[in-house]
Amino acid sequence: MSSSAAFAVVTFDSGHQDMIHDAQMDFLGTKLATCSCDKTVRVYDVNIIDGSHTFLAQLKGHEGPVWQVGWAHPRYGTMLASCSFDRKVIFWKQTEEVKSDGREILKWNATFVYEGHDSSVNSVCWAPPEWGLMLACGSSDGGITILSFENERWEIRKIAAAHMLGCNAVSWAPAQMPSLDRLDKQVKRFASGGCDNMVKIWREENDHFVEEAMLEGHRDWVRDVAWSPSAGLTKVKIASCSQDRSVIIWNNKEGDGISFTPEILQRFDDVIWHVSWNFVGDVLAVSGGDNQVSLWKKHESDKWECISDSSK
Amino acid sequence: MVMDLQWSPVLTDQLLAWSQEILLYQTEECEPLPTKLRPGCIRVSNRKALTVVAKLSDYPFPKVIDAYPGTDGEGMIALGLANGKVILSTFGTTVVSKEFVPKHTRQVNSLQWNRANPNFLAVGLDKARSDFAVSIWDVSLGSKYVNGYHSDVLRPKIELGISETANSVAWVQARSLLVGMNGKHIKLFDLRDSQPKLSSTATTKAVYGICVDNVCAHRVASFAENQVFVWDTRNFEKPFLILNHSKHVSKLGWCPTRAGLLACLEKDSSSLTLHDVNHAVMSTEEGEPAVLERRLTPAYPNELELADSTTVLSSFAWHPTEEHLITTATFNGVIWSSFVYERLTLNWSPTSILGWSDGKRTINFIDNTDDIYTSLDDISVKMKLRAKNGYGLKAQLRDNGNIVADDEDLKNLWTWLDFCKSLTEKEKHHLPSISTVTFPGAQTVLKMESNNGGGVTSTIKSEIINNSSFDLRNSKTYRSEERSFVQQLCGWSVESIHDLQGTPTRKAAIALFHLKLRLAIKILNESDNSIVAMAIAGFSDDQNSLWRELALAKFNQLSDPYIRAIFAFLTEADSNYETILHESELTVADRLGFACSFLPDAKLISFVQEISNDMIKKGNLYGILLTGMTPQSIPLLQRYLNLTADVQSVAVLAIRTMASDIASSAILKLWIERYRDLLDSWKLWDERAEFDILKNRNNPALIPQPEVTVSCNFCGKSISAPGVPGIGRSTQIFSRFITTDVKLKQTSCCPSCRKPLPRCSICLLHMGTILGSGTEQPVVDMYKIGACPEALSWYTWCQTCRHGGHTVHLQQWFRTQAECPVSGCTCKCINLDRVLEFPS
Repeated sequence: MSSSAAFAVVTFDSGHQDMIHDAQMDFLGTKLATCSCDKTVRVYDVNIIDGSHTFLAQLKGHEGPVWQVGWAHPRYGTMLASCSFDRKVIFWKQTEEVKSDGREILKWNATFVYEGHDSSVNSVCWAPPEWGLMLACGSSDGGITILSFENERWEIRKIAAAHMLGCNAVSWAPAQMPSLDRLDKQVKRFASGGCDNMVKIWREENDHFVEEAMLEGHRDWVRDVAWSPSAGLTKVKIASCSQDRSVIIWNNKEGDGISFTPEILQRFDDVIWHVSWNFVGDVLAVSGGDNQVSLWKKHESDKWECISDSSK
Repeated sequence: MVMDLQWSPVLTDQLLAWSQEILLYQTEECEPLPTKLRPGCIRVSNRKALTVVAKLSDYPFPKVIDAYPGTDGEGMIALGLANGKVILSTFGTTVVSKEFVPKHTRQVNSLQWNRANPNFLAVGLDKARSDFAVSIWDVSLGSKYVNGYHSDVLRPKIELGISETANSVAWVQARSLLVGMNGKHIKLFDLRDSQPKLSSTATTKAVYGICVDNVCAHRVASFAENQVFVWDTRNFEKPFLILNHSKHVSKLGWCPTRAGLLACLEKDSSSLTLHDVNHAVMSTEEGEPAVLERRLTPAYPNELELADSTTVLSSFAWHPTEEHLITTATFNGVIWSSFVYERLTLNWSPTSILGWSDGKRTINFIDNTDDIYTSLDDISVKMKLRAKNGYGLKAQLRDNGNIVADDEDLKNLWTWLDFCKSLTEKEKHHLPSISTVTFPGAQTVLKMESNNGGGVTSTIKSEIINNSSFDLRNSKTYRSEERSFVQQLCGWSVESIHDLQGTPTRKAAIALFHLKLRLAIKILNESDNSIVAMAIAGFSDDQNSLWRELALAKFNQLSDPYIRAIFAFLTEADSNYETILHESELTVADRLGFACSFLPDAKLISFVQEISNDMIKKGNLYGILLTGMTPQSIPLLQRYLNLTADVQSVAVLAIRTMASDIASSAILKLWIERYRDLLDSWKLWDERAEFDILKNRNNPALIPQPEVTVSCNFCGKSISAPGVPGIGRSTQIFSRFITTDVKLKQTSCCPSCRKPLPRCSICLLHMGTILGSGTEQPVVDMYKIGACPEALSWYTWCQTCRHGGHTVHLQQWFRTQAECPVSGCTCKCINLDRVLEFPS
């Protein structure tokens, strides 16, 4: 951990009654959604000039802690999905109502509630916008559901028993990966991680999602997976983190989408909860159970190096 | 060996651990691993160590211990022994103690101080005929801290459960006591009156290890065998939750700093199980407990040899005040502190903002103004700045280089592209190989083509020149139109060696490669390299000369690559010039320029091929010199992109220099799309529009069909497309606005049905006529409309009331008015449209 730079952090009180489980910004960075143990989702406007937050709405509808939120691409309007311990995924949509005096009222409605899981829904992730409104969610019942909005209704495709004992995270692959598929072919893929210590890759085939690869390497529950955004890069990499205190970067060097070489970042002091790539996919942020955030970048030495650590 | 441990409730940096003796440890900060600790210290976490400060050896293997929670106790502890005695003792030089002895000898099962009222000590004992199972002592009564004791005088304040067994006892706030009895019941006693009252009873086998959640006092846990029961004392008949374990449970403990977090130790286990019961109420009807479960295995450092992740734990203790801190002990005496942290969220937004939660209610953010981004060298931050500065959009190619002046390779590439374009423009009429290419590289110029066998062929023919003017035996050079064009691309020019860029040694080397030895010596002499000049002046082409011998032996040690190249050339170190051609410190341009003079055709081709492959492998932008901006450069740019993630440069290069290849290359399209995504997410709409315009300018096939046209009210046909729709329509749409007055008059009616177009609601003339004819020219403020006066006559309308007119008229109207100009319409058009903000 050489020459780590220090964080200069802006903190912001979410106004939730209890612990926050997730905070996500939308594609344009103008809206922030947070969700919490207090069963609510809160939405804020973000001032892009000074970064200040204005409270917009509190969304009530879940009956348990809300684990994760996700913004749909703005081309589909202002839309948010949230998943909760109460086994539901709720799709929230913002609509504008123009009053007679010309004032605009913003309203949030739960446009659809998916209740197809038997246990807590732990993760939601929107597919690349090229594929329309499409979302994957993973549940403690071991299943993964892919919901897609077609012909004015939500189509449901379910992968039962995707991960024994539960699925903790889902993450879509970028829409086009030049090294894996011919670019004129539309291949939909996502990765998932679960309590069977596995990271799995799923590919759409004849309207079903089939297991394309199973990545074995973690020794305890996989907590999060993050497929690296491509930004035109041909490298295929997936980051996963686990209760076993490790973060693994899976590299698909052969470009076949099946054989992935694990690269272990480091064994940390505590459980690693989340991993997240920056927008071009060359820096990985890792948040540890020890309330720390560190940033990792692959250096010329071909090794992943920690460039910053919030605890320092 | 450690049997059990407890953090002192008062002096919270002290830890009690006991087995055959009772040790009091003091925590202290220590250097992080792998620094050695001073002797007598044991490491308890990465930054904390423990030292023994006191020891009590009089009572080996006590059954139970509880540290006195009052502030006046000076570290007093209560010990329950196997013979039923309860000892109050303190650490120190003179051990002061007090002893409570039951009438009948039996084991003490449990004892606990009342946290709210520290005088009271509850003791649970095994069964004895006609004796009580629970005794509650008031230590403030009678003489305190006297040496020697009066056990005969001391009587318990309250006694409960005659002829019964107390398996465990636990206080609930100040005046209630829970007692696990006879292996059958948990009883809740109300002790507020002098006469104890039984308030409720639960029938259960789980009578052991009763503990109360201090954060939420009606929540109680107990265990039996491999089951943990969670109770709500307000509804005590049946357990609120039953948590099954695979092994027998040996200890329970609620987290004192967070509600509803229960730590649970199984026998022969190397880890703790943590149950979060906060949300347990949810799924009662399903029968399946909805409890979040985590396992905590202490993370011992590798340096700690006595324990690893499989070492069996003997006990654990929560720290009373420090959040999340739990300390575990193993049977072989290793004590280790772990932290139980909440899950942290972490998300990196497309706009370079990294946000994470702190396990509580606040979110932390850093954005690209943070120092961290400097150290990250995040390409997306650089790209955004470059995009704002108009990178790739400047009309002159070289101007784009100035925007990326911080990246020398990119800057040089843009400069070279500009140079290459003008050079090609000038020369393309003499050189058939480049007549159709705008940015040729050496491969194109030299007519290199891959053949089926994977090799490369070329049809160039060069003229061999034997240079009599120079004394090298090997001074054969080759010349052809193509070769000299490549040399020009490399920036080589015989006429103006003094104008060359770079160091004097480079100039000298290039002069020499043009076989101008005297000039080379002169250049070196004029710079501060006169020693080298002298050495070169002694040049002798005699194969066996002393000069050659010495130069050959020593030139490899010189630091300047160009001086090395000069000596390699003069000494003819190898006949094929390998030393110079593979001198990686020479620029690609100079090596290529050299090869064009001195390599015969076949060798030149294979050299170009070899060096191209090398450049592609390295993603080195100087390789563009070889590939040109042709489809051959795509693998090189892809490699560059993989290494740098700079999708911006490859996308703008694609639209500026490879426009004609975009349609046929999915990769180019992908880069362009990804870059447009980036511009979108940065909300750089203007830059994206300009990017699209540039992209389409060189490639009309990419222009999307218009999605909206203005149609006639009467016939419904597009007023801008007389006759044929489809091909050519787009150009007509634009031509509509670039009109003369004559044309405007012609289009004041629908081109299909000849009915007049609607009227402007201000000037009441039909649309398509010139502006407000008859009045003076409206005051046109160019700034407000952009640089397009034609736009003033465009037709615009309100999306709500559908009234409209000439843009400039409406603009003037709404400068002072809020309502629609059509009389009788009360629509507040201008307020409805937030996007269209007229500058005031």
